[in-house]
Amino acid sequence: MILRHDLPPEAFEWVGPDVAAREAIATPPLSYWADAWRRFRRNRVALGALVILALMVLGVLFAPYLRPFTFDHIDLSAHNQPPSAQHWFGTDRLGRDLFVRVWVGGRISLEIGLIAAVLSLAIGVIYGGIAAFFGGMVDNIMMRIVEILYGIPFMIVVILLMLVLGSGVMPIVVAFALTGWMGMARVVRGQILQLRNQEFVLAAETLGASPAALIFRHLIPNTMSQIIINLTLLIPDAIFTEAFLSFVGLGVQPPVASWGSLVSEGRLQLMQYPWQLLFPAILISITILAFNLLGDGLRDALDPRLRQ
Amino acid sequence: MARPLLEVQELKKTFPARGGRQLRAVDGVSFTIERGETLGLVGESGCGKSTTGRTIVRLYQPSAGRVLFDGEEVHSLHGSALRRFRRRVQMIFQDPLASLDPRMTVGDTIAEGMQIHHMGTPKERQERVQALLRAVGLNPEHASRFPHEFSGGQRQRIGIARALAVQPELIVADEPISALDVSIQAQIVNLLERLQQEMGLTYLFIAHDLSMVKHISTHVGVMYLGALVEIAPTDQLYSEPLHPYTQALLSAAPLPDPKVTRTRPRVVVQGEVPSPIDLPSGCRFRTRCPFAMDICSQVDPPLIEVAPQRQVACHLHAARSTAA
Repeated sequence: MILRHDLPPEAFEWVGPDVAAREAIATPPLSYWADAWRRFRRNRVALGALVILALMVLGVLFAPYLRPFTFDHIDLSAHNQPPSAQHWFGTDRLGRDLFVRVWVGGRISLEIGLIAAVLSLAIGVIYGGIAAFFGGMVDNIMMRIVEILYGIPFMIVVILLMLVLGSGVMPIVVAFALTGWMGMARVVRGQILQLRNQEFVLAAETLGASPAALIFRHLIPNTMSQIIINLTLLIPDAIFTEAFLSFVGLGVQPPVASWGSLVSEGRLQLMQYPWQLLFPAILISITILAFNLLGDGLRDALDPRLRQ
Repeated sequence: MARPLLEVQELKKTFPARGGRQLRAVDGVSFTIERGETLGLVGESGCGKSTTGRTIVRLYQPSAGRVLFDGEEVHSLHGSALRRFRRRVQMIFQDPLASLDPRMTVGDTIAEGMQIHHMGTPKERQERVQALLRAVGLNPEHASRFPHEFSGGQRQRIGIARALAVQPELIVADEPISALDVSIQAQIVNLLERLQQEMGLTYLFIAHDLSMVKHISTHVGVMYLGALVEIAPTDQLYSEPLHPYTQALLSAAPLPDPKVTRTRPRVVVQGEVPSPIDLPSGCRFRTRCPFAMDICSQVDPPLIEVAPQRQVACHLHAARSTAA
């Protein structure tokens, strides 16, 4: 055994501090989005929701072509059929194939959900961004307007708008966009107000960045995660609104189908032919559930501080 | 003598407070900084030192008073003159993480200023980013990384590199070392000092602790409740503090020698800082001053020159005024 005092001083060598090693970073570079994706992947529920939504999109795009029927092909000799090898989801009271109608109807529902959500997102981001960036009086007036609009029952506004605009896909989209943007405006305003006085924004201002550069280089990118999370919660909201409006007869008109109008038609014969309501209802439920789970998963992945 | 690089004249900044009242964050501050010098600005939290710094770099508009940078009035600049000012004056912030955009790579952050001021081609900018990273002691390969991957001291060096990128003349450092470990503080102060010598920089160095600015400053100003109570060359301020508040701050600072610490006279300040919305009459320090006299509650002592380059705002020293 060698004790310490057995070693002569010459046995020691001065290695000095290794400056390069001190400054080295072991982990590979990771961008914000790559890091978020890494967190998202670990969340099985959210990943499952994403897969289901992807299948849903593939379904509405291609599933109708699996069967030799069109969505408005009427065959009165085969009306109210139960599910069979010929008609996988059965037929409705006019003998139209429900499998094809459900997927074609999904197109309308998803389309409305996406377009309406994106439109209200655009309005909300611009409105909230302007209010927060200019602040003071501008902000005060703009947010009071939002609060007043919030006080008006949403469904009354939508129904009134539908009465004016008529029924159909575009009126639903417009009606939802005009009423759905307020939550987004509030979220964006809150985020930007918070970011506006952050030191990195002040630093950019000290460097001479213009207001546009501040907004588009620093403020909006740092609000993106909130915007995306809110979008995934707006889409099911829009789909649900469409389903509701079609259900009460204000939505799309026959022979065009949407999930809401299919449920509405199925309801008439619920006691005799329950599958006519069951299939579109299941698809609505799965889609909305998947969007909500995806939204939760995205929130956890994009903004880990919010996790409970 | 040439004109000073920075001249602050009777600067005031008030913020609206509840009930239509005014919060007087900065209340008539004047000082000058000569080219190549470092003024350390010291005071406790909420005394208006950061507000002073932010007003100088034009993040705030002053309520009254003027800031002259190289003879030009900062707050009336616009167009190309403002752009030039934005390039010549930079700021280093307190929170090293909050001062870096989390969505931008370190390289993009450092290059941002050069891009705004159209300095060089993209390739030249990239090379300069590498050179700057080396200058602040970071690995140039780190340019593609994101702020959250760095330690506090490294982040602060990134913030320094960003400020240096546009080749400024004046750097306002707003508590650049307060958020860092003591071991890292020395590293950053030494870096700032080296850069000052190499590039001929002028600093306004803001801190809440006299011991932090002693090493780097040529002059030190002490602020209390929005006003400058004493300003002096560093050596004189530390060896012979005149204002009771400065004396209290100095006697509160820990010394490395426990024997000296035990035996030195201590000036103890009582009570809390009054609210800047509701300032005391007369001298703003009188409510906590161990030497308060009758006159202190009636007359606000002006900042007067008591010796060459030494200014103090206190009735105790009014007799020493060189003017009187």
